[in-house]
Amino acid sequence: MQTKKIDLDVISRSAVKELLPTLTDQLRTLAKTSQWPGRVINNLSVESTEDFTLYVDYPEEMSTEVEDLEYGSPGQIPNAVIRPFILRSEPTIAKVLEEKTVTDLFTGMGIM
Amino acid sequence: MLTTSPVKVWYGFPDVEVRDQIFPYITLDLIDIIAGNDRQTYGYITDTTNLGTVAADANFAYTNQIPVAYDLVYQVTSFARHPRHDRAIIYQLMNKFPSKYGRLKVANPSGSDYSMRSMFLDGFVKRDTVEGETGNRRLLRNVYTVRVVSQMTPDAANAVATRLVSTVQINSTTSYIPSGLTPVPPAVTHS
Repeated sequence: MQTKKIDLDVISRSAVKELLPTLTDQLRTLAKTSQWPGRVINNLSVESTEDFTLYVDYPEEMSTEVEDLEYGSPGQIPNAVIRPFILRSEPTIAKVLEEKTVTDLFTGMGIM
Repeated sequence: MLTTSPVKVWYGFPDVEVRDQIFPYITLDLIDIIAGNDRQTYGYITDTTNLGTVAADANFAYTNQIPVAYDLVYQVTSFARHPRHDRAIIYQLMNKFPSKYGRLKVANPSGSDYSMRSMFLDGFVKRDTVEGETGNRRLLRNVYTVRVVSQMTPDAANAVATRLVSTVQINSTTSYIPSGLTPVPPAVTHS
């Protein structure tokens, strides 16, 4: 019987790599809809740690500006983007990860 | 001796031009409304109290569609100048929103019954500022992100949805014809 070795870690990394640009696009679209400044929008991204924990990333020097937008500041109401994005991102994460991992698994097994 | 002091609560940031901005105070901001798809079910509820709006009558049964689940996401922000006020408010709000066990009492329209809606504390951020935009005075801020489970009934949706067109007067004419345009001839009915 012939067996084929499939590296699940490689498949997982590949799926997350494909997921990050999609999520970054969604995050930036939401920020644009909420009229965040363009230079802030261009510096927002979704990244992943080594253990596949996803997080919203932005430059350290923009942290006060981003957090003032998100949570409000004295005299300015909150214009939340990151929290609504997190609450809404689950379907996209599930869809992209499922499709990519299943496709790669089947491809690795020689089915597709 | 324990003393209590009421703290004003505003929906949205208090406008300093029309209201006295007296510290400490709390603001509530609705930051999102999202469908609660993770807890949505479909079908009908049959009971004898019409969802608690009328007295039970064994001879009548009411059937209602299961409402659509929504989550209302609020930001609750406290503002204080004094650390002791800040601490007291943190204590009060942490008791109001104990992790996933917060509850909000919501009465039905007739006031005859109520439900307890769950409130989830999704996040807490300390955002104290000391100088700069606050006029070199410290401002102690706490940001709570609170999710309140809610629902929309078909009746509520019908009340706000666009009314359906019931009649169309296709033969009515107008005397006002802008220059350069030609009136459309009346519709012809075939029998």
